[in-house]
Amino acid sequence: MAHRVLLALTSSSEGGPACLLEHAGEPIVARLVEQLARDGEVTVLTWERWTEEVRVTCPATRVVGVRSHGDAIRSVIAQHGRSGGGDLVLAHAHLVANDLALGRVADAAASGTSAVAGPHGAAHGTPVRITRGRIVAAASPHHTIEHASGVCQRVLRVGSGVGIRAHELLTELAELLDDRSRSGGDADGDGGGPGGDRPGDGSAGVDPKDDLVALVLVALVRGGVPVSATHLPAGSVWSHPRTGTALRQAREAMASLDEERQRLDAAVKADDSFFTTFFVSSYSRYWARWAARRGFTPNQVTSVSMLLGILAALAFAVGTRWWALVGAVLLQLAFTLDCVDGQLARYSRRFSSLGAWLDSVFDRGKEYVVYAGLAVGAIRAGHGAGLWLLAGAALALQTFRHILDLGYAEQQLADVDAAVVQPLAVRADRGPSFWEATPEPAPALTSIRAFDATAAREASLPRRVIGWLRQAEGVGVLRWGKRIVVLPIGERFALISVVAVAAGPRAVFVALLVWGGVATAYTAGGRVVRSIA
Amino acid sequence: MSTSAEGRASEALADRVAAAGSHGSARARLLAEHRDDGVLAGRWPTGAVPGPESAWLTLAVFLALAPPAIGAFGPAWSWVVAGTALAAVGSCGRGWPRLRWPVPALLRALEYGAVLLLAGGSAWTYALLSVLAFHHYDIVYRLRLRGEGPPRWLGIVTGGWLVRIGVIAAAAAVERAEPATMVLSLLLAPAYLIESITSWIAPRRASAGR
Repeated sequence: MAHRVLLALTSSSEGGPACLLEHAGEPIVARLVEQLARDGEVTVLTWERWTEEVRVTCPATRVVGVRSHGDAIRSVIAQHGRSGGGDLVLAHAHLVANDLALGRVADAAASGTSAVAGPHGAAHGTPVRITRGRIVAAASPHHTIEHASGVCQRVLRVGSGVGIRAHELLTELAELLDDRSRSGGDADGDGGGPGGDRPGDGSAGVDPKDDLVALVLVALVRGGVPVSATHLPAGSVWSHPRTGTALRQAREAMASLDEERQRLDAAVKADDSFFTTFFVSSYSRYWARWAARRGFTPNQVTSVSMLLGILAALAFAVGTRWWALVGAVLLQLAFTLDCVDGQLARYSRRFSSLGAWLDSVFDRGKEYVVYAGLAVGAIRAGHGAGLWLLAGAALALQTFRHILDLGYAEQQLADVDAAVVQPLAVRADRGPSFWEATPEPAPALTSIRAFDATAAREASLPRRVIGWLRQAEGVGVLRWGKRIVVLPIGERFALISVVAVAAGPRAVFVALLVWGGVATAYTAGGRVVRSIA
Repeated sequence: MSTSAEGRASEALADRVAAAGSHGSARARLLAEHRDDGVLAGRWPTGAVPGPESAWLTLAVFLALAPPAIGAFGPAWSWVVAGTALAAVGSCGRGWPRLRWPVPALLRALEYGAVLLLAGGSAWTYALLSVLAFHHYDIVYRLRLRGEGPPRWLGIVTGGWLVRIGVIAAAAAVERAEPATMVLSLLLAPAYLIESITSWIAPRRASAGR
């Protein structure tokens, strides 16, 4: 059972609890509790002096009073324990957010340990450094970091799998906060500190010293718990208002938001390849919505896609050009459905590891059955000498490339695991190792420049080359160019379809082998250089 | 900062480094599971060979595949045997931590290349490669999605890369490579498919979580 803990510690500009600010007669916390209570139990933690006020506003919710920050952390642990160690979502009680955005971390389909992250330089949030989708360093009122590449937007989810570890780390954090408050504290909460919001008019945000979400995040990250960065869908309303005006603005933004549109756009993967982004996702999202409304599951769509792939292979196997055209059309259709299943899963928020496995295995299955169809077609048409060898070589090369990619990704995760662990009581973060800093494409230009400066200081040539390549990522054309060069699945299926119709099966395999070979040399070469740089 | 906090923190750090160390080696173990060593390979103590494992394997793949591919110097199977022997020894290399990632892919290149060179182009060669590719993708995705690979018995029953290359090379030496691909395909396909499908439909906890 998931448990949600809301922190009502931040005061409004007038001095009362910010979460009790009202717009149109509805206090912030009442709406938030209503949004969250659909999928789990909610507890509000507040200062003892505010307990009564908060209780009156949220009569159906458990309200717990605390005396200090350490006390609050211990309450979080206790609440988590009460829920039997299930998933825990930690947020500030004066958060105004639309359902879709909140669902990203809080709904039943969310899993694992993650924090809501925004782009580097976003107005509100605490700086974090993100590598490969993992938060590897986080700032708080007591902790600074170098080379921030994003911000944590103050909602954190702790997965049930790390419950016991999380309790140990939070206990340590509570003791640290007790010590700090006894010794006078070095978090003076001036608002401009390293862990706080950028200096603003104070109309929205969280008082840095009360930002326990940031502190818990630091404790988890430095304790070696893998925390992934969850990005909000574009156009989300996400605000922590501290004045009536800021609240009104946030509620107005929410009223004018077309959440259905946002949900559909958010179903499309952000980092897909060129062909997929421009020639498939533009319409496949509507198929996904249609499938969702008709009640189809992602796994059903995946299976139909595989079936179409087999039909395409049979069409190619006939061995005439007209049937090759039919095969090409069927293959494109199969590929579109292959995008639809993922979009449907994201749209309807139905994820499963079986679905992910089925999707991956059927992707390969479709491709390799089509190779076989092309080989049979060429043999039936009477020009099949050596075609099985070519088909086998194409299969071997493609599998080799995938396993190489997956091995690299696996190794990076292992390296990140080893790099993040640091003591909680130390203020400064160790900073990124070079290895850790390279892989994540920087989300903002500013951090690319920061990186370049580091690269220039270290004069070794391979490192400088990597620096240039990373800078090139910031330029649109080059970024798309790089994505096409590596021949991702969308481009590959398009290549197979077009060449099969235009020049026949043999040319398909030659094209796959030549292009695939160049792509392998390009990717693997760069990675070997990075590994030894 | 108070000293007591410092002291506690450094103790806690020691614990945590230990925990992270074991976690790190768990990931390293996962990377080792990608190799599909099976019954014969990886039996020797690692570190027996100097230098990064991937450098040895690259050399082995080159030695096993390049001369037969250009049709030079003697029968293909003898080159494949020589290259595979080097790979078997090289896979006991120290394994430079930063170059561990290409190792599984290089082992795939060696095996698939050996099948293609020794058995030549036929529908059964293609079938065998498809079966092996399925198994290797299955290993990778199971490790990624659930944090555990196929059971050990599957590796023992189906041999691992070293045994499979040995069988093909032995068959090629007596000019029976093509029927060998047929026999291997028909034996391996049900083992890999049935084991994988039963493991996926068996009820278990949703995800190992990452």
